[in-house]
Amino acid sequence: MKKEIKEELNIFSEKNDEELVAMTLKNPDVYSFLVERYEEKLLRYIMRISRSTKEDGEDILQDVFLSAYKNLNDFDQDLKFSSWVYRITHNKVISHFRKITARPKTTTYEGDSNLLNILASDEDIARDLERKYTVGEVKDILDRLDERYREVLVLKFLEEKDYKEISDILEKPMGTVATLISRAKKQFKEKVQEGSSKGQ
Amino acid sequence: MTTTSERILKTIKESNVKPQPKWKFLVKNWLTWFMFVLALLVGALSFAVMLDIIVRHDWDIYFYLHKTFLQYLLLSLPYVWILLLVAFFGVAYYDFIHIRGWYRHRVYLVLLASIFLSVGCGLIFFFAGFGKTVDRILTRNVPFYGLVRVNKEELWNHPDEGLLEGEIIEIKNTDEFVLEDPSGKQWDVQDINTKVNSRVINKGESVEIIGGKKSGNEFVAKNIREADSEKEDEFIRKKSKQKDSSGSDSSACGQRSGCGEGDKDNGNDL
Repeated sequence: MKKEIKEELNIFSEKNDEELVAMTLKNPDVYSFLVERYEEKLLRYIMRISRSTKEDGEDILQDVFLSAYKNLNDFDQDLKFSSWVYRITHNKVISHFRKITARPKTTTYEGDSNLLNILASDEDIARDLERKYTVGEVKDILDRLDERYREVLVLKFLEEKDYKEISDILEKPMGTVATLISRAKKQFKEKVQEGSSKGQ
Repeated sequence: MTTTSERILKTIKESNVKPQPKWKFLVKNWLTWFMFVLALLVGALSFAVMLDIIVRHDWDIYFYLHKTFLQYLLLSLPYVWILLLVAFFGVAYYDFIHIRGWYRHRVYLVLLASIFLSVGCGLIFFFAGFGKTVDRILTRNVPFYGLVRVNKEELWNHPDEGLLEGEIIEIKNTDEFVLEDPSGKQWDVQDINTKVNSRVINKGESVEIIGGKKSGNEFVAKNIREADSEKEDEFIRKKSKQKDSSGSDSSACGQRSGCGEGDKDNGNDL
């Protein structure tokens, strides 16, 4: 019996996202495999872009998965499932953030200890990180960026999405995404330089 | 199974959450496309009406109104239709950005294509006469439409400046006829050959005259042109109302009977 369950689990875990969506429409239990695949990534993404508490983040996450389930028939086959579910997350965070906009910012995601290295992997940014910054300082710089710039930097460097995926998530033309990333980098550099001059 | 997935599956089952049917999304998507195309078509119709108003406008009379062409142009532009055209482009753009996958297209190309489509369809509508038809329907049926469109009656009702319009109510001889202006005043109009656009004019026609006021109710015509049918409609309607209010047969004057000497006297009193 246990062997059968294990084999079944293996079958589902070998399926790609799009196949799991099709299977979920026939059997709702299959949805748990999609949830498991994305819960950590999406919670991290929510925390990175929303400045909300972990509890709030989990509430948003639940809302995202319920919304995605209700709209499974609207899943656009031209997209990757990950882009589609990230888009839903982006929209949920925006609507949630509008509600709590008066709240002070609280925690950030604990898993971002490698934040500095990831951001510094970009040549443009690396040049500006001449002195060593602590993770806290980098988070602070990210916090001071405009929302739209912070989000594209998070998607590009922390979530490692390509331009096409970012375009699908934010529902913006690829050209606009490229412009946003370029401006985000510029603003990031400005904030780094501001920080350096204050430090001296 | 993780806590999150357990919790979500539990909620799905307990609340009996089900994926919404596919047809709902299809209908929503088709409806957005339909609204986009509709906005473009209404925009095209606005363009056709705007073009029709511009083409039919009397652009050559600004001189008589003692205005520069620029002043006259600013006075004559169909602002409502220009605004409507811009508004429907706005609606079309709003609809477009709600179409699934809109961001995958180059926005400026879509905007250019929309303008091209609207102008193209607008030209077709214009040449098919839809612009004129819409303008006439609105003039007849929408009470305040006359207030927002260029008032041709006002433009032509300047006898002292040499502009006169009205309805021919009597042909006296080959170079003289009696015309009743929209206010009901009757004019003896002298003309060399009593022709409009090289054809003989008839009693009951609405005409616009460029010439000069001689004295009192005498007017010398240098150029007589046919008033457009829409103005003729307005004129007939106005006359019918006047007849209604004075208790006479409403169709009498508009249909040419009963517009004889008795009416002429009343007109002169006005």
